[in-house]
Amino acid sequence: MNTPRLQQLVESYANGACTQEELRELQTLLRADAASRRFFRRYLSVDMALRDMSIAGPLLESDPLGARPRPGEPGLAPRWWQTPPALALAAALALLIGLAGFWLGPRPDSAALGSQELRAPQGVAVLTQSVNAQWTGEGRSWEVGAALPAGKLSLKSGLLQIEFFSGAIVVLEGPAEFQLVSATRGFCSKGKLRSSVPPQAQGFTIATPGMDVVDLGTEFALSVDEKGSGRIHVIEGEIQLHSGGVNAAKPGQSFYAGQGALFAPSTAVTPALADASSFVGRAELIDLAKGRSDQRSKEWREYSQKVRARPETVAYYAFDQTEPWSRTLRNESAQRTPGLEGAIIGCEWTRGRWAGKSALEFKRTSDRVRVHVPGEFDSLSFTSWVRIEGWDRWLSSLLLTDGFGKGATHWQLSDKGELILGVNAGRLENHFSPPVISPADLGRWVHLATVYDAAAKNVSHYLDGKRVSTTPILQPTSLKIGNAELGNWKSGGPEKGNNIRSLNGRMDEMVIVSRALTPEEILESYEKGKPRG
Amino acid sequence: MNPPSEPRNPDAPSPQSEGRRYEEFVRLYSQHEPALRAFVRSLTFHWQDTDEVMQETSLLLWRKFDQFEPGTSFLRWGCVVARFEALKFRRQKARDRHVFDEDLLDLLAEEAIDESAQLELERRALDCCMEKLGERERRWVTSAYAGNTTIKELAEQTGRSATSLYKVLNRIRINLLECVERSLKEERAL
Repeated sequence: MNTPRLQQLVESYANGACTQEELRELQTLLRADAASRRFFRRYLSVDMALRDMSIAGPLLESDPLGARPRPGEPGLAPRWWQTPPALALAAALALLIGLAGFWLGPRPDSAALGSQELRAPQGVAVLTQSVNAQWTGEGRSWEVGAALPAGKLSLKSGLLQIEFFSGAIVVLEGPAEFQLVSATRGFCSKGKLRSSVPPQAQGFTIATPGMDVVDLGTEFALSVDEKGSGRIHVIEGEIQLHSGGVNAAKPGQSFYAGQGALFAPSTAVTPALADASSFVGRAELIDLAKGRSDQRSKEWREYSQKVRARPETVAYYAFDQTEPWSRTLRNESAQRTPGLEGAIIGCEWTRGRWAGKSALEFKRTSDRVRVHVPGEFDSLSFTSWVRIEGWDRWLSSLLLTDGFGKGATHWQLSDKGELILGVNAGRLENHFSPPVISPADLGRWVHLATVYDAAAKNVSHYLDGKRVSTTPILQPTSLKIGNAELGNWKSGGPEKGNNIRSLNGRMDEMVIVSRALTPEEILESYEKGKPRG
Repeated sequence: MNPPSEPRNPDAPSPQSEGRRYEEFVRLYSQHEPALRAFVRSLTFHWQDTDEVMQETSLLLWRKFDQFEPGTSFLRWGCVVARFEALKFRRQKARDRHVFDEDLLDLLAEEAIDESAQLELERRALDCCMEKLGERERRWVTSAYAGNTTIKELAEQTGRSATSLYKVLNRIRINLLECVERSLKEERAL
C-alpha cells in the first residue's frame, strides 16, 4: 500500500537522506506487503530514469536555480556515450575487446564481398522478381522485395530479377554465382544473365574472372562457365570489353548491337555473332512469373481450403476478393457467425502476395477492419501474411481487442521489429520476441505467427515459419477477442500517444485458430503461402 | 585479468562466430540496459552503487553469454545475474553503508524478476511521461541529478531551503509515477 508514510520514507531513501531509524522503518513496511515493494521499485525506477536523463541531457542554457557552471567546467552535458552507464560498459568491454580484437579483426574489402554477414541493411539493389528460385544454401536466400546488400547470390536454379540502385536491371539465371559489389558493379563467376542499362546507369560493369564488361547502354547478355570462359551478346547499344579489368593498361574493345564475342581467361577475345535467344528477358520473365504465381496460388488455395474446413479454425480471412468495391472482409472459416465478417473502414484493396491475389492496404491512422470474434479460448494461435511498409509509431496493430479488459488479447508489433502478444490476465502479461523484423524486411511479405499454448504454458513467436522466441505464461487465463480490429486499435481512450497503433502496410491473410498450432503446422502455413519459391 | 596468453578452448566458437556473438551481446545489452539499471537501482542505496554493480554485471553477462539461451528473455537473465552481483556488493559494503537486510533485497529482486516482462514496458511508458515534463521541471531535475552539485549546495546557491528543493523533486517523481500508472492502467497499454 502506498501510505503517506511509506511515500515519505521512500522519497527520503531515494534522496539518500534516510537515517538508520528511517531505514529500519522502511524495511518493516516493505516486508509487510507486496504492493509496498512494488511502489518502492517503481519509485526508484523513476529515480533512475531521471538521473539517466540528467546526465545524458541536452545543453543547459541557463540554470533554473541560478547556479552557474563552475569555472573550468565544460558547459556541455556529457553525450550519451560519455555517461557513466555507457562508460561502464565501454570500460568493462574494453578489457574483452583486447581479446576479441583479433577475432573481429580488420575486414579486408575483398573478404567482405563474399561475406553474407553484412550487418547494415545497406542495399545495393532490390530483388524484384523471382521464378522457381532454388538457392544453393551457401549464402542466404532472398525473397521478392528484399533490399539486397553487397554480397554473394548463390543460385542453384531458377530466375531472379535484380534492380540495381543505379537503375541497371539484371535477370540472372541459375545455376549462377553472382556477387553484388556496388550499385554500379556486379561480378559473375558462373551463370547466365541479361542486363539492361538505362542512360542513368551508363558505365554499369559486370566483371567476370577474366574480363570486365562495361555497358555504355542499353542491353547485353552474358554467360560464364566454371572456368571463367564465356560468351557475350550485345542486344542493343554498345559495350566495351576489358580483358584484365577496366584498369588494365590495354584499352577496351567496343562491340555493338548484333555483335558478340567468345572469351576465356588469358586468351584473346574472338568476335562472334550475337545470339541472345537462349537468355530470358524481362518480358518473358514476367510471363514466367505469372505462370509461377498461378501455380503458387493453386497450391496455396488447396492448402488453405483444408485449414478453412478445420473446426478449430475460428476465423479465416483470406483477403481473396475480386470485387474492389466490397467493404466486407469475408470470413472463410466453417464457423458462420455474422460478426466474424469484417467491416472494412478506410482501407483500400491492393495487390497481395502474388499477381491475382488481393490484399488490404492500411495507410491512414483511421484505416481498419472491425470484427467480432465470439468465444473464450484456453489456447490461441494467430498466423498472418503482412507487408510492413514502415513503423509509424511505437506499436503497430495486427489484431487488437477493443480496449484492454480482462482476458483481452493484443497481437501487435513494435517499431524495433518485435512481435508482441499482450494478454490481460488480471495482471498485464506481454510476451515480446526479440527484434526480428529488420529494416531489410520492410516492403516484403512476411509470415508472422504467435501461439498462446495453455498446456505448455508458454507463448511462441514465429517469423517466416521459424520460431524466434518462447516465453513462459505467468498467469494462465481464458482469452477473449470479442470486438476487435485488424490493423488498428479502438482504445476507448483519447487518440494520443501509444493509443494510435495503426498499421502501415498490407495484410493479405489472417487466421485465428482455437488451439496451439505446432511448429510444423506453422512452418507448413509459411511454406504453402510464401509468395514464390 | 584475462591474459591474452590464456590457451584457447579448442571447442570455443570460431573467430567469426565470436565476433557475431559479441555484436549480438552488445545489441541485447544496450536494448535492455535501461530496464536492467532500474532493477539494480531498486537494490542499491546510491546511484554510485548502482553504477558499480552495473559495471560488474555487464562484464559478467558477457563472460557468461554462452549460457544465455537465445529466444529467452535477455532482461530476465540479466536480472538474475545482477541480483547476485547486488547481493555480493551488499555483503562487501554492509559495514559502512545504508543497506537493506539480505532477505528483503532478495525478495525485492525475486519479485522484480517475475515482473521483468513488465519492467521494459514501464520503462517505455516512463520515457513517454518524461517527454511531457515541462522545460522548467526538466531543468530542476537536471540540476539536482547531474551530479555536479549536491542538494545542499544548490540550496545555498539559490537561497532556498534544502527541504523545499526536495519537495519539488518529490513532487516531480510522484507525478511521473502516477503518469506511468495511468498510461498502463487507464490507457490500457497493451
